[in-house]
Formats: sequence, C-alpha cells, structure tokens
Amino acid sequence: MTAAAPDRIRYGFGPHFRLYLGAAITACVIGLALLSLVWTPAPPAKMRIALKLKAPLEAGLAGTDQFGRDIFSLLMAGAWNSLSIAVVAIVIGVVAGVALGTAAAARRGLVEEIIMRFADVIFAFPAIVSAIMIAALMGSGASTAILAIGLFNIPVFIRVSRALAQRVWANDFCLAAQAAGKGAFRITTDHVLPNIAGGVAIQATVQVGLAILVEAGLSFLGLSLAPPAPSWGRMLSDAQTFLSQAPWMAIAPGVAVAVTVLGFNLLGDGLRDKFDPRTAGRV
Amino acid sequence: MPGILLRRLGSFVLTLFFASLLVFASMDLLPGNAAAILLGTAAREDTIAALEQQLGLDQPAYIRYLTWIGGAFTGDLGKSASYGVSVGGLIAERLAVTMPLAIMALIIAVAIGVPMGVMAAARWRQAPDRLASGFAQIGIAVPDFWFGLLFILIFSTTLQWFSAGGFPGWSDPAAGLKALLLPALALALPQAAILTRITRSAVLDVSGEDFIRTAQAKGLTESRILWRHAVRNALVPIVTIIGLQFSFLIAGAVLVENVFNLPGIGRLAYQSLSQRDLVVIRSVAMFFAGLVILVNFLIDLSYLWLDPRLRARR
Repeated sequence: MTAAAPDRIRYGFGPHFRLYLGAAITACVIGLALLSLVWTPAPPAKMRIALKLKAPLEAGLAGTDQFGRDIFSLLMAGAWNSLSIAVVAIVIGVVAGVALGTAAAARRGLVEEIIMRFADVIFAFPAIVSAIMIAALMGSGASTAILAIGLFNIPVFIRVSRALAQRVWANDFCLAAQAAGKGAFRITTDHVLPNIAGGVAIQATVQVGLAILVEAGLSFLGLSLAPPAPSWGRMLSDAQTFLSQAPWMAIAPGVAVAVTVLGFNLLGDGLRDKFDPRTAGRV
Repeated sequence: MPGILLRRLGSFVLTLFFASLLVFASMDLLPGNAAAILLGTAAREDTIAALEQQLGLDQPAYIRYLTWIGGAFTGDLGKSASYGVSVGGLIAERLAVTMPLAIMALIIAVAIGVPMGVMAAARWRQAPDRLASGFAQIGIAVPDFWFGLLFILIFSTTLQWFSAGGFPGWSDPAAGLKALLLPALALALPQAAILTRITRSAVLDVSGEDFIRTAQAKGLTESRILWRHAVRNALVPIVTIIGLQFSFLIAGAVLVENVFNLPGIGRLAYQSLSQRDLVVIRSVAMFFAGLVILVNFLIDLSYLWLDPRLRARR
C-alpha cells in the first residue's frame, strides 16, 4: 500500500493550507457580519417593490427578493444573526459540557457514571427535535434556537473534555499535585483546564460551523429568529416559493451557509494539524 | 459474553427510561399544559377544564406517565387533538415514508462514502485523495435541505424529470421509490461526505499496522490487502460514525421532508407544532429519541461482532 509511511511528505498546498484558508474565510464572514452593523449596500429591511425579483447585478450584487430587498445586504445582516446565535449556543455547550466532563474525569465512579448517562440521554435528542419541543412550550425565536443547539452541544463537550482530561490526569504532574495535597477541584483548575483548553477550542471551532448549519435548518422551519430579522434559513424558505422565477434567491443564502461552515471546519482542521502534527493530513 | 450483553441492555433500557421522563416532564409537567396551549389564550376556563378531562390531564402525573409509556407497548398513545385519529396510527402511517427514506439515504451514503474513503486512503496525497477530500470537506459544509432545493431547481423545475415534491403512496412501488429518490440523495450527500472522511482516516490509521506489512510481505495484492485487511479493521470507527450521525440523519429528514412535501414523521412533527398538538409532539419526540438510543445500542453490540478482541476482554 502506498499509503503506509511515505519517505518524504509532500504537501500540495503548503503545510498549513487548511489553516490559512479557513482563517481567511472565517475572517471575511465575521468582517462582513460586523460591517453589517454599521453599513450595508442597501438597507436590508427596505422593501422596494419596483425592484422586486431582479437578477444578480441587475439590482445589487446578488439580486433582490420578492419585496425588492437587496439580497447581499440581507446576507450580511443574516451573517451577524447566524453567527451570534451559533456562538452563544456553543458557549453554553462549552461551559456546561466542560464543567461536567472535567468533573467526570476528576471524580470517577458513580459521579462519572451519572454524568455520562446524562450525556447519553441529552444526546438522544437531535437539536431540531428539542427545538420543536421548546417551540411548543415557549414559542419560536432566537432563544429557542440557542437553547436547542446549546443543549445538543453539552454532551458533545462532556465527551471531548472528559477524554482530554483523562489523558491529563494520567500524567505524573497530577500525581505530584495530589501528593502535595491539592484536591481534585484545584488540580482541575490549575492543571487540567489549561491543558485541555486547546483541544476544547479546536472542537468548539468545528461545532460553531455545525451550529450555523443547524441554525439554518431551524430558521428554514421558522423555529429561530422571527421575521423581519434577516436569517439565511428563512431566506431559503422564502426562496422555495420563487424557485422557478428567481433561482438566485435560493442559491445565494445556501452558498453563504456552505462557505461559512467550510471556513470554520477548515480552521478547526488546520488548528488540529498545527497543534497535533501526528494526525496532519490524515483527518 | 452474556455479562456484557446484559450490561449494555441494562444501560439501553435506563437511557430510554430517562429520555422518556425528560419528554414527559417537559411536555406534561411544565406550566401551560396541553389543553391550554391547544386552545390558545382566549379560551375560557371551563373549556380548558373540559378538554383537560378529555385528554386525561386531570389525573395525577404518575398515572399519566404510566398510561403513556404503557401505550407505547400496545400502540395506544392517545388521540391527536388536531387530527382526531390515534397517535400510534398516525406515526405508523408516516413511518411508511420516513423509514424507506432514511434507509435509502443510508445505503446511498455508504455506497458513495466508503469506496471513496478507501480510494482516497489508497492514493494518499495523490489526485484521487485530493478530489475525495475536497468533496468531503465541501459536502460536510452544505446543508442537506439546500441540496434538496438545488435538486428541485435542477431536476424538477429545469429538466422536469421528477415532480417537485409530494408522495404518491406505495400502491405503485416504482412511483413511490422515484418520489423518494431526490430527497434520499439530498439527505445522503452530507452523510457520504462524512463517511468518506472517516473511512479515509480509519484506513490510513490501520495502514501502518504490522498485519498490513505481513500481508504485503506475503505478496497479497493491493486490493486484497485494502478490502480484506485494512477496511475490515477500519470498520469500528466507520460504524461508530454512522451511529453518531444518526441524529443528524433524523434532523435532516425533518427538513428534507418539509422541502419535498413528503408525509413523513418529520413533517408530522412540524405540522403538529403549528397545530400546537402536544399529544403528538411528545410521542414523536420520544420516537426520535428512542430511535437514536436504539441505533447506538445496536452499534455498541456490533462492536462485539466486528472486533473479536472485545469479546475476549472484560
């Protein structure tokens, strides 16, 4: 097999191609999202019936929708909404997941068993299913999407941080700290957390991308941000009605989602390549 | 061996139990019960009370829980307030669309993803690997329901090969399969991308092992080493990912069924949300969660079969 240990590793695009490309895409998306707070080519909410359903470049960079709103401006404002929902949801997942995951690694035994069983139960509910349940109880909106995506990410980060923390606990310096009389909590804050932060951050980058994908699905079904706030998912669901007249309405938001998620995934993979060279090019 | 089986079975049942408690607690115990939500804010108190009695909401919580769970075994999950038919029957009817859709998607995903991943590993860092890895990287980032929209745009609106959605029923199996083909493909592509990636890295991982070198030394052909030795040993991570991805397959099915207007369980869940039909939502949510738990349990068991070393250990 040619795959087994080549003598000389050849990189097609340089060693950190994925990292740089991912960072560039992510920076562009975040930049456009921030820019949308102060400037967009046209006011995203402004309806201009005279300009409705114009093709790209006929009116605006990406055309207009059924109300004559500028699609590129809507995409920029949608980027901000989509990113903020995804980031807040992942922060919830990271905080709760890492707290429980490191506790499981520190305490072992019954505590670990209960935490992991809890993770299994939560993991059984796909974000879209919990979003439907939450929406049935308290209506849909940004908080519904954040809660559903955040919840689904808790078991993800429980598993990741527990696995990483277990590896740290196996080190001699943890044994030494124990011998010096440090308790499990102090060892976790002083030794475990700093050592797993990088791994958790890499996973979080990938999960933000996934959260953007899920949020697009939720807002496609109308379970996320309520109109008139621009959202990529709802732009896609509007587009379905005008598929034959205005296909660009369906193409632009999908490309926006795909490019953004691609950026976060490449960034996550690139960071892993950089900090864990053993797996470089393999995962 | 029976010990491991029993322990896994025990944790399977326990996980199911807690998941059902979670669904029940959030749907039945939180303020704003099914009757009030169904009737809306303008309803009079005595109307709510009457519907509560009709839905059995006036009984104590543990009785309601036991009735619901008991019903899951007999198929009597209560009556849908908005459809006026039994929830069990409703789910069974919708399953006839969702199950074939999910199975088709899974078959397509495996048929594309595994060979592509193996090919990429065999030609590591050469053109086929670059192509397959590029496909995987992009496929993971594209929303499945957007694939659905694009397929409708290309194959229905433009080429007119397929209808843009809807389901003709199974009286003509060929027409039924045809109606599910585009949705299944949309659902399968992101899954295929993930499988490509995992297969590739799993095969690369085992390719450095001693038994591969032994097989090479024996003079076995490359394809035989790949498929009989490398892939066989890479199956555990591949199967693991299929299990972990299962909840995304369900989420994708909810979306894709809505894009293609298919009368499946995902669409049922969404429709009962707009009807505020909590009786249906709780059973559908439990059905999805139960399915994820079941699939992961089966995958746990499959390890014992895939990797004989696990049978000997513990």
